[in-house]
Amino acid sequence: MTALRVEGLGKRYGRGTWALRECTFDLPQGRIIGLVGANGAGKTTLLHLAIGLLSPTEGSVFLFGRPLRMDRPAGLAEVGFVAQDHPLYRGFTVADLLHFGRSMNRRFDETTARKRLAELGIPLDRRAGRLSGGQQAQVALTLALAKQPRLLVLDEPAASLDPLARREFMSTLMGAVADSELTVLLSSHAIGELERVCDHLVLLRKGRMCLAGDTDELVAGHRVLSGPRPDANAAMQGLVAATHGPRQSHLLVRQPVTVPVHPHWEANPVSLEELVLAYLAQPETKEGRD
Amino acid sequence: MLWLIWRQHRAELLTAVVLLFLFAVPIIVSGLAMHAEYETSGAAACVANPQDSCGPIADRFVSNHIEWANRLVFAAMLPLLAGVFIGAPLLAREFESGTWRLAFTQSVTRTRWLVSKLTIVGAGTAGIAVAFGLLFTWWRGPLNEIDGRLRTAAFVATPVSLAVVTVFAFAAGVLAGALLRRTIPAMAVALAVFLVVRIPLEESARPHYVKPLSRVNDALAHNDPGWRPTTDWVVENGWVDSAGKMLSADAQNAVMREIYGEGGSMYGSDLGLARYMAEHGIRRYTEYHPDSAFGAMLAIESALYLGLAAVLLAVAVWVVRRRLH
Amino acid sequence: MFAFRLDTRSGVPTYLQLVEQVRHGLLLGYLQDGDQLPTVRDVAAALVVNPNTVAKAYRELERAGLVAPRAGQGTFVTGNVDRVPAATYAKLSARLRAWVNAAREAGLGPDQVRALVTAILDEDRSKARAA
Repeated sequence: MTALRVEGLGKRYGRGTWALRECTFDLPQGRIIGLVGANGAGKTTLLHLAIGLLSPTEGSVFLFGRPLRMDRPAGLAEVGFVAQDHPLYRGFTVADLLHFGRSMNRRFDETTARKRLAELGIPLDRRAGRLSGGQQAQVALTLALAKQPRLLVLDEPAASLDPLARREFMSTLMGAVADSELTVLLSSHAIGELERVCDHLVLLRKGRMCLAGDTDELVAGHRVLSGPRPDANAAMQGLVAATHGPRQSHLLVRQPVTVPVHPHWEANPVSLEELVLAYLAQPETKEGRD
Repeated sequence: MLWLIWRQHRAELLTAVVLLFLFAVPIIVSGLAMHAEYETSGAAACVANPQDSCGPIADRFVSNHIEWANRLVFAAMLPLLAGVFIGAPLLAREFESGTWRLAFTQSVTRTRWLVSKLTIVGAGTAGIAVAFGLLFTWWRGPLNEIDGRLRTAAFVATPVSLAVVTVFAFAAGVLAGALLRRTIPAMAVALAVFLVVRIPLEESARPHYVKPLSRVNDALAHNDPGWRPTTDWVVENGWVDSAGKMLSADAQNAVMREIYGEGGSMYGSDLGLARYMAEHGIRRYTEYHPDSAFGAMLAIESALYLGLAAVLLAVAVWVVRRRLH
Repeated sequence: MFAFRLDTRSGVPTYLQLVEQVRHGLLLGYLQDGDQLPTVRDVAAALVVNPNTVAKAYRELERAGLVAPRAGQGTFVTGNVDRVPAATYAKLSARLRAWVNAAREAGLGPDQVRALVTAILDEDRSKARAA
């Protein structure tokens, strides 16, 4: 079952350039999906489109098999969202924010929310504007989780936090995922963290999708071949990136382990981080699609 | 939803109520004194039963209070506060602080969110305006009985006029906020739009909401009935010649010079002028709205401002629904 | 309760690290029959890893017969790993220690010792396979 399916999704702001173009992928249910890309690659646009905060210029979005329409309460109830910089009404106390959630949602698990806030030591009578960045992020996450969504979307949730607050935030998130059947889609720059946290990846480069798939399969489907420098531009099946020394070359190739390797070449597994960076740095002409 | 609206706008409501109170205290104090003086000075009796001797009484009463009455003309600017401080931040603040992403991802659709907010906050603001209008109009009561309720100073302070103009100002602020997404620029635009619409409508449109009546008097009218309340609102006057044609300002000035001489006193007897006019068949011409036009004027003013407000709010809803990014 | 840790630099997949730690704990006696393992939720939150990964590790351990879930209570060690008997363990580790001392005196560094051990193990394994 797919949690989120996008087909030919594109978004253009005004008459300007396309922020996102020709995006097609399926996100499996019950997984933690990482959305990776450089700044300006269209991550926020994609996330906003995915939850109907923005309407697409072309293409369509399906949430749990049903077409997503803006302004439908049923669809809104299935999605939890923590926006970039986790905005809150600064003048509201934490208790006010819980009241806000209760009055804006038919389904709102305030008991669990209060429990979670108590565990985190966040006082209910404190104004949101006076909480630390980490606490604000936790409150935003608590509000999103209390909706009991099926899909939780987070836009660089921990980017502005210090390492400790960041760890606590991600820890809360992991605990919440373990507690429920939640599917999580989160964008992040911290590739090292994504490796531990995500089991599915979508890579965006300049508004286009350049790779998507289960992390295990992605890692298994790629390898680094090291050996004597090949003849200039020798065609290599599934070549993603190449680094050349004077006599030696390292080639990142997309090919199954079963493909036999030329005796001159030594095959090594590739780490997810290495893989992601290679794809993001890929020149525009080579489009590896999944 | 209701709770959210209350929580987000309770400070504005409180400020409005405090403002109302600050206005109310001096107005009620001076108003009670004025209403008492209206009775004791005999002005009330004069209005009920006009007599020749009433002129000085009514004049004295009006001049005692005209300064305050003129000050209250600024009530016409009160709706501006609603546009700048309630309308403009309503959406701009959400966009500026990013909380729109929080508000629009709850289970309440943004259309319902916006329509509820606009309806309730708009109605509340209009309610405050009605309260101000009732206060001002009560204070002006005696003056209106003498001078009529159609003149600008009286009309703009009526509850209905004040409320519909407030709703328009609120709508202008909301749309400015929806388009500009930043509070301070939205406030500035709300202010500008309000002035650009309000002043011309006030100055040139309102006298023509309904066609004024006209009358022509002989200059030497001996049938002067004496003093009576002037509830007509005179919007145009001048002289017409024997053919019934309006005299231009230049022609009028020429006549004045002929009678009084270059630089002569204008404060002499009217008799010379009256005689001249009678000899040349010139008569006085007046266009005016009678007191009975009040209801129609108010209805037209309401339709105009509420119509404008409806268009602005509809555009704001459309902008938020469609072009959000 | 048993505490997992994660070596993010080792390059070993997370679930494998968790499996190895339980196996290791059993071998060395840190974990014993009937001990309860922390819940998937607790491990995921403590290590900040995907709960699916932790669940995968627990499934793997279950398949290997090292742990078993008890309905509504959690996951418990069933401990049928071939543990080294204490006497054997003591004897072998003493002899290894002596050997390591000899290697150091012969001028071998830790890396060389490790390389030597790996080479012997590999050789042993290929011999076993051939047999």
